[in-house]
Amino acid sequence: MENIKEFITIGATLAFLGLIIVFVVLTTVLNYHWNRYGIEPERVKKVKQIYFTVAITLLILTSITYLNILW
Amino acid sequence: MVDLLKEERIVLKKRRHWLVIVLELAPLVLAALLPPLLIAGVSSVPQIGLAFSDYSELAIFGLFAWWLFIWMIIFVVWTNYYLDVLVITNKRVIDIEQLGLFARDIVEVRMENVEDVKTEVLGLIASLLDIGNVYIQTAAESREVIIKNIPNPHKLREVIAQYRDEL
Repeated sequence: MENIKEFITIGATLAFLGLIIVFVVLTTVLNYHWNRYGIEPERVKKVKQIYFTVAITLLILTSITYLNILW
Repeated sequence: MVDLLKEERIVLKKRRHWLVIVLELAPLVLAALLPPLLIAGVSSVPQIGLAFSDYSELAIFGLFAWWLFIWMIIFVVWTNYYLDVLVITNKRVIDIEQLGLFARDIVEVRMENVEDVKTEVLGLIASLLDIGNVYIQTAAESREVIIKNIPNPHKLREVIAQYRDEL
């Protein structure tokens, strides 16, 4: 039982770290493209708001559930 | 994004038809909906549900992580769609195509080099929604410019022909 819990903790930690890395890289790339190539500033601004609002909410929820697993 | 020449103005800006992005996003939305349905289904089976409750925190963590991942992919797909633009000016036809996140293809044809413009609308859905392809024959190095899945292709052909004939 303890082994399974340890396995879950390690797995969740790796998954969480991987997700953070992917999030940072993709968000940076997307932001670059929107700023550099977006031709409608108002629409790009709105898209950014939607993207970051939902992404950060999901990131917070993921972090909370990850911490729940640890504790 | 588009540097205009002297006395040049943008006449028309077009993106691919909205159906294209809907069809590209539909599998992602399904992928987002599948895990919660799976979790609900598994939890409803008594014996499995009882064993599953020990790992419910892990399942919820996985669910949120999965949703975040899908959310990012949705915006990668949307960005790819959004950055594909056809710009018609009074002097040029500029086709900008974003090929994935790290490749971008820009084809620019001067109106005086446009020889022939052909449109193609194939199929029931395309006919009902007026989606088609536009083929621009040119005298330039890029002999043919193909613009796919564009709304109102016939109108686009007329606009290009109008400005080509004005020169």
